[in-house]
Order: sequence, then structure tokens, then C-alpha cells
Amino acid sequence: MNVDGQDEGDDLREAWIDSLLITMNNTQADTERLARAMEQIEGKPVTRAKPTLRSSRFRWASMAVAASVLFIAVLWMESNDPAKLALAAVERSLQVAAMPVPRKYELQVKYRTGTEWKAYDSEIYIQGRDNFAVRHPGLLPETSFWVGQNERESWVVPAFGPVLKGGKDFLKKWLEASEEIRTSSLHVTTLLSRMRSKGYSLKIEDTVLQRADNDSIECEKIYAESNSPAIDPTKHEDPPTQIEVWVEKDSGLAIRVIAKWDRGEGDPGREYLELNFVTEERNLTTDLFLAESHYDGYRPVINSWEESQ
Amino acid sequence: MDVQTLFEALIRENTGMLMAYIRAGIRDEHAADDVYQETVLAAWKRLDDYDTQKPLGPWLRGIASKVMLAHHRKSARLACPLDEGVIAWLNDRFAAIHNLQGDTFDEKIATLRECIDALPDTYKHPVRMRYTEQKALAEVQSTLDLAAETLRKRLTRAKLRLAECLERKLGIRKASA
Repeated sequence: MNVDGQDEGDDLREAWIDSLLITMNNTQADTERLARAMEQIEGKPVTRAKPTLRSSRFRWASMAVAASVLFIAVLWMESNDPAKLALAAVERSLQVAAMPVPRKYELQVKYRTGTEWKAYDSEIYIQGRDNFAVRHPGLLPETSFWVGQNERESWVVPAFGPVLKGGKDFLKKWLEASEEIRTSSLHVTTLLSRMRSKGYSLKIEDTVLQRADNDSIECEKIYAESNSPAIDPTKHEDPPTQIEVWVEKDSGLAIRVIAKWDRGEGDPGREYLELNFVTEERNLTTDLFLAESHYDGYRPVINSWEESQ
Repeated sequence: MDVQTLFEALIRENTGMLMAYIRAGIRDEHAADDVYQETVLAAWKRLDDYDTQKPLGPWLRGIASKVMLAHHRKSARLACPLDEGVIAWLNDRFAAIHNLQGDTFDEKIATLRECIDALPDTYKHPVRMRYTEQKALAEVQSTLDLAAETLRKRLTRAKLRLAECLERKLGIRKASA
């Protein structure tokens, strides 16, 4: 890595100071850490790390996930049915995705407007089941708009003009009607939840995922194919025809998700969506999932709560 | 005193510095704890290789760097950059801290405390609340009446100022990164 670059160098220097500041105020945790290491050396069963103030939220979430994974494991441990094993893997990944850890994914989309194909790349930020924020390129050059959702509301911040807000159903309808998006399946948890519905048959296999950065990750690949008839363009609901998920074996984290839609000749809409895990963004605050974080100055707000409920 | 008790005492003396080193490289509290456990276990197994004429800290950091690189290769969650270049960069800084006066990490890191004291209040207060008092970001935000983004930027700037101050006191030029 070139640490001479200003940004990378600053990032490293910040991490260096961060580590010193955390360590100088965590001597008690370090004493417990050493005690656990010595227990391991003595061959005693290793006790679990006590949560520090800084990480307690994540640790509790991890324990909840562990309990859930245990439940899933007990449920399917005697099963050799690949579909059940695949479902258990989806459940595990869903639990990990539901943890309140902010994560960044790269988003690639291909869609058809009727006469031509279009594609764009973007980034989506996700935290838990409810929070997400994504920046889309706007219709005009050099413009973009944000859509997102938090625990209370969903919202759209266009490049110009009023901000739109409503309940969760509001954004679902808005996304399905939007020419360049045309689906509500954006969040990792939405896609994983769809996979476990009765409308999909599941398969699972072990694989090694090669990433663009030459990293290879041991994964379980889960493949879901829709049992439903072809998409009815007159309906708002637009479930993908196929969903593929690569789940990291060690952590249960969804590393890559690909959704595909079979479109009829000339039918407009999204045909391909790919999400690739980039990083955990633990320094991000939940403000990212508020509409107000994505525009400066005054903008009128149109509330659509009534229509969306 | 048996070997294991002596080993534990030596590791205790070096745990602060070792954890700071691992945290700086790994940047994930769970993974850092795993790396620490693996490092101490590996050090115990390789104790015969340790040259008792040399300080233990650099030897432990050498083991930790290999464990960190292995963890980084294995887990996609650890998206922070980590390679031999980063390890060398960290080694320079931790070697300089190691050479400061004092026996324990706490004594050696007094230099950083001086740098914190020298920060302007705008930066000093968020750093103390966040790290010394270990308050949640939301609590710091509401106490200081700051927007989340402003607090984030302020903490980043504060840490970069601290890095500059510490590098100056350690005699490390920023360009050497």
C-alpha cells in the first residue's frame, strides 16, 4: 500500500492515534484479555470477552445472532436436504445483516427504459433491517438524488425541489414507479427475506469467491429461483426471477448479492442488480439515514404519510 | 517463579502496547481481540525462539504482524488496508514509542496526554468525552450540541493534530510515512 498518499496516510495516522486513545483508557479490559489468553495456555475452556463500553452494542447483537444461529443449527442439523440447508444459511445471513453495524456495499444496476439499456454504479449504506441510504445518478448530467429509510420514515431527496417523506410503504411505491429503479428490492435484508419466501426454490454449494481486489473468500453460495409465473408488468410487485448470494462461511456476512429479472421483449424496468460488500463503517452515525443529511439550506418537505398508510 | 508466571508477567507489561499495535492494524475490536489471543498463544509456543537479551515488545509485535496479515487475508470484513508497507509504518511508530521513558505503556504514553492537553478546547473536549470518559457518540453530540457530521470531522481533525504532535515529539517526520 502506498501510505505516502495524503488521504491514505491521514487515514493510517488517524487509526494509529485512535488505537492509542482506546488502549490508554482500556487497561481493565486488557487485564481481562490477558487472563483469557493465560486460561487458553493452561488448557482451560476460554471464557467470553466481557463487553467494553465501546463495543457492547455489537457484542449484544453478536450474542443475539449466535442464539439465532444455534436455533437454526439445531433445527436443521440432522437434515441433508439441500433446500433446508440453504434456508438455514439464508436465515443466518439475514440475522447478521440485521445487526446494527453500518456497512457499505457497491451497487451495480442495469435497466431498460423501453428502447435502450442503461447502467449505473452507486454506493448503498445499510444498517440493520431498517436503515439504508443510496445515492442515484440523476436524470440530468452531474446531478444525483438520494433515497433512504430509517426506523421512522422513508424519504427521497431529489437533486432539486421539495423533499418527499412518508411511511415505509411510500418509498416502496416510489421506487417501483421510478423509471430508473423500478423495484423496491434494494436492501440486502429485503433480498434475503425474499429468498426464504415460499415463492423461491433454494440450492446451496460451497465455493471460493474471488473478489476484484484478488481476495479469495470461502463462501456458501445460495441460489434462489422463483417458482412464480413470469412477471406481470401491470402489477407493482416486481420480485426478481433469480437471486444469488455469496455468504462468508466464517461470519455469515453476505459478501455479494445478485438479483436478476426476466423481462419480456421491450418491457421496461430493472434487469440486473449486484451488491458487493465493501466495508463496515463503524464511524458512521445514523444521521446518514436522515433526509436532512443530504441537502443544504432550506427545502420544502412534502409529507405523504396519509397516502402511504 | 515458574516459566508460565514469568511469561504472564512479561506479557502483562507489554499488553497495552501490543493491543494498541493490533488495533491500529486491524481496526475491528472483535478481530483485534482474536489476534491478541492468537499472538499470546503463539508467543508461548515459540518461547524458546525468544532472545532474552532483547526486549520482548518488538518480538511480540513481529508475531502479531504475521497473525494480523493472516486474519486480514482470511476475513472480508476487515476492509482496512493492511500489507507489509502498513506494518513497517506502524513498526516505526511503535518502536519510537517503545523507546520513550517509562516501563509501562501508560508511562510511555504520557507524551500523548501532553499533546491532548495542548489541543484547543474545540478538539480537546470531544476527545476527552469520547475516549477518556468513553461516552457514546450520540451523547457527545448532544452535550456539545454538535451535528453528527461536525462531531465526526472534529474528532478526525483532533486525531490528525495529535498525530502531528506525537510524531514531532517522537522525532518522526510525516514525510517518512
